[in-house]
Amino acid sequence: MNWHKVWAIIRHEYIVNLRRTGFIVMTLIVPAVGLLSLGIAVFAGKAVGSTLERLFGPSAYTIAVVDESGYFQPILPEFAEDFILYPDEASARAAVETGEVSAALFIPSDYLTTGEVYVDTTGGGMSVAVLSDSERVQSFFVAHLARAYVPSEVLARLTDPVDRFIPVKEEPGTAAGPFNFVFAFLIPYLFAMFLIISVFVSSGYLLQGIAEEKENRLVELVLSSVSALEWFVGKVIGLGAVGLTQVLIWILSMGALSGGAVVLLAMAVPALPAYKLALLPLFYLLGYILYAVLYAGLGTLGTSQRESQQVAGIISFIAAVPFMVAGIMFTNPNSPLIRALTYFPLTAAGMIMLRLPLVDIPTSDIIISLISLLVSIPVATWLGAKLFRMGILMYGKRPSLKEIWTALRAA
Amino acid sequence: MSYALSVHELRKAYATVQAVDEVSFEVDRGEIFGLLGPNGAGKTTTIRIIMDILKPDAGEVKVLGTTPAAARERVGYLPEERGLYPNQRVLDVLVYLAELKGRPRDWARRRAEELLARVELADWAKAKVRELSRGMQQKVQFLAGIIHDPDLCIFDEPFQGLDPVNVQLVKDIMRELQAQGKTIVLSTHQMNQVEALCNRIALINRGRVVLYGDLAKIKREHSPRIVSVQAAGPLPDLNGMAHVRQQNGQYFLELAPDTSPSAVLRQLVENGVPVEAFAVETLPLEDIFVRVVKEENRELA
Repeated sequence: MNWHKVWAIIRHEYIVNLRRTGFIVMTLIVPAVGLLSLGIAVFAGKAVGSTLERLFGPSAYTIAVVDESGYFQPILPEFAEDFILYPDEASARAAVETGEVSAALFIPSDYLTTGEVYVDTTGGGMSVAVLSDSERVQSFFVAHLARAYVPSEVLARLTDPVDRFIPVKEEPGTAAGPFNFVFAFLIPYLFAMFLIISVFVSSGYLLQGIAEEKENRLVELVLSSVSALEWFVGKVIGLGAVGLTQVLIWILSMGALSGGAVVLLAMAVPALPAYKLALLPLFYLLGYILYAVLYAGLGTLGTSQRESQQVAGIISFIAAVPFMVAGIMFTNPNSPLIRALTYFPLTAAGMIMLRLPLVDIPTSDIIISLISLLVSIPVATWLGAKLFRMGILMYGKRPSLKEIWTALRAA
Repeated sequence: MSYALSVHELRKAYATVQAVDEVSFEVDRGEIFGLLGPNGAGKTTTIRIIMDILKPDAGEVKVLGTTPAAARERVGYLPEERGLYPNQRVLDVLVYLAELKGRPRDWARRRAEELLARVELADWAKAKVRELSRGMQQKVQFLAGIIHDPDLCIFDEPFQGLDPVNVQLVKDIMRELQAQGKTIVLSTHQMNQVEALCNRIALINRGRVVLYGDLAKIKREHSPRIVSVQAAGPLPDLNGMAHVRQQNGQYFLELAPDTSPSAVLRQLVENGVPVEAFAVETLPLEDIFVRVVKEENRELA
């Protein structure tokens, strides 16, 4: 293999495809949509936000309390900021009317027996419902009713019984927290998603790049200069890099436009042990290369790009299988099906990514899937180059199964 | 000195046809060799094997004294099935194709500029290929075959789509290449160009070589055995004639099987005939081609 020539092909494919209008438009669409939504959020968000807050956020506002039962006077210091005593109904209503408070609670003298509280709000029925569900309002009632019987430190716990739940069994080196489980999933899940997106995006470039070579009739000239394998490898890497570039630009633009997501990811990183984090990009790359090779090899079999697309569609479907069996994986992470799919080269990368955070995945599974990918990539490349050599010299003619078999056997 | 190209008992079969059947020929260094044959005769398959695009079933090919794969970078190829990247600039395409032949970028750029100037396309170097006329594209195609300064050039139908002026230009370049010591294998259906350019030829029909060797010798062997004579007076009776015909003051003497043209000339001189012109008539290569192919096909049928 002459890597100097392969490099020339990689650079040629990469630069030519990067300059394509289709590539530029598709690449810019994601940041453009992001910017647009950011703009909408900035300009329209304030108005929408304040309305939402007024409707759904009673805790952020002060509430007038008119107490005829006597249980709520004086108001406990921890509630003093958002609950204010008013002497009578008229003054409380006036305060609601002027917007001084967002709601008023009228607690009648027979409250203890009836359990009924009257409400006046600016927001209508919706706000009454929100008020009755509000934890803050519930705590207000519990704390004031109990204060006569409970010591103050118990009172604080009574309204907020548990600050956080801590699992007893923990993976060493992981930060504990209520979101730990979700965080552990976040990064592997994103990697698996990016793998599928990259595979889908790049399949288009690979199929197009190879179909065009046939249409432009340069096949013979190129094959008289480089071997089919050199050309094939150059094309796979060059066109694959085009797809990766696009996905990378999308990810970076999304990260830049939504600072929150980056913070979330930064929080998610310590949720996974370092060696598992390191495995993610490795499997991502291997999975991606295998698919790129397969697309390029099968891409030559069709007479047109559309026909090749149908052939390639079958493989794209397999790429999504790890997500389809996610349900089984959650209930039984080490079931035979899940393990088999982890060993199968086409699903190995996706399966490993999704299984990593689930359980202590057997090291043997990781090693077997790694070997499966490392072996299948050169084999697929070699066979792909053979198919490529056969398919690419057939202009406007589809190879028969027999011809495909002959080409593979001649390999 | 070894041959520039030697093909020995080459065989290649596709599913149902024997495309190349025991084909053998040699091309000397520095010559322009004609590789001829009707459509579907097996020329393209033979060339593809020489170019290492296809592998033969049997037989041996030596290119510039080595294997086709090893000689790849020293061979230039203008395939019949050809095209260029339409959306790329002329210069970029040529540089890229030279890089694929293992040439450095800078070298390739200088060479491409020189060659574009040679075919009067210097002003189009920065233009996209699709902006060129068909004839211009054909010339760029031709340059793509020689961009890396190969020692052996294989041109398949190089005159396709060219006007007479550009046909002359391409022929001139071929002669220049020959003068530089390059070897050229020319495959074309334009027999007049073969006669004008080639020293030797091989004619392939149905996968087999049916005519091979020195062009002048082949033409002699296939001569119609007619001698034309122009004289100031009438001709005497001559020995060894099969038929004599007079037309516009010229005599056409069809010779008997054992009579040679020089024997006729000797008789004329001995008889004191005032000869003004004497010529051995030959068939145009095209007629020989058609006749040989028809005979072969009839025999095989």
